[in-house]
Amino acid sequence: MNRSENMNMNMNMSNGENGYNGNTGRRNKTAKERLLYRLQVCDFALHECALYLDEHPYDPAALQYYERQKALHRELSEDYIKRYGPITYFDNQNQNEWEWAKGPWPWELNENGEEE
Amino acid sequence: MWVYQKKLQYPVHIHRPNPKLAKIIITQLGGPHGEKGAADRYLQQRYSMPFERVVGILTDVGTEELAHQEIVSSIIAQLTRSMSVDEIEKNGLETYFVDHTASVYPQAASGMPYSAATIAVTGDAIADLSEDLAAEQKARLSYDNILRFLDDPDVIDPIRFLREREIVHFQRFGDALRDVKDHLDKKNYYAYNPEFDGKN
Repeated sequence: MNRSENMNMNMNMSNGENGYNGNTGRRNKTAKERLLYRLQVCDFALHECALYLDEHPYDPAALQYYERQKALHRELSEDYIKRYGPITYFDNQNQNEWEWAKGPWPWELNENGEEE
Repeated sequence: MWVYQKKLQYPVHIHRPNPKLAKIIITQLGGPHGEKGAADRYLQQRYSMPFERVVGILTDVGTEELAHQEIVSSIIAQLTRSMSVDEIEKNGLETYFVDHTASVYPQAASGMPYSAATIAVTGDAIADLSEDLAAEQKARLSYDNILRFLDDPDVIDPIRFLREREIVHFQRFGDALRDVKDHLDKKNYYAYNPEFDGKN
């Protein structure tokens, strides 16, 4: 197996819907959860790519994959921030309110055990 | 520096609290093979590491370990949410509760607080990367042992994700160790320590 095949195998593991069944189908995911999940998948693909590229910095297939995911990441993050608020404190959009520190924080569920 | 991103690396959504599971899973936060130790180990090994690509791997894996610390902590927080005093007693959490109430404190399942004595930062490139390879296997086996006790798919799912990451990190540290050896004397890898000799 050559290096780029090895890399693609690692990245395909969780680059689709099949790696995730955490909500066990008990209720439909909200639009926010769905968009967040797409962003998390893209984050993951980029992170896997980075770990591989650290030691294989000239691999053309990996670099090409990185560029593709980077473009998708920009698109998804901008969309998410516009709809649901800042991901980092660089993203506050409202000039009249500091929205960064508004909950829910990522580990929090509401009284019914659901994400808000 | 680091900038916080307001999202988990992998979703955690546990419908049924279960304090008894929190008692064992907490070991992957502050135990001898836990995520906190992993982050400390890799990030602290960077400063004397002379090979730039290896510093890249230590930085990126170390940063991911911070995200894993947050995933494990989120699992503990959700498993222990809205516990009654009765439930605390029934599940044997009273010894934890008296000191920490329902907060998330980095400790081993045995109750030992997180200790940097569980990690090594030796300043020797081969020793450090061999330590890192072993650390990934130790974390993997702890997740395998935790999985023996789980039957809730909401908990199994993120634990499996974390387990899988240990295996990927093991592969990446393998790349890094090969890189270190490529820089050394092929006839005797131990002829000198690239993190010390030749710099003084």
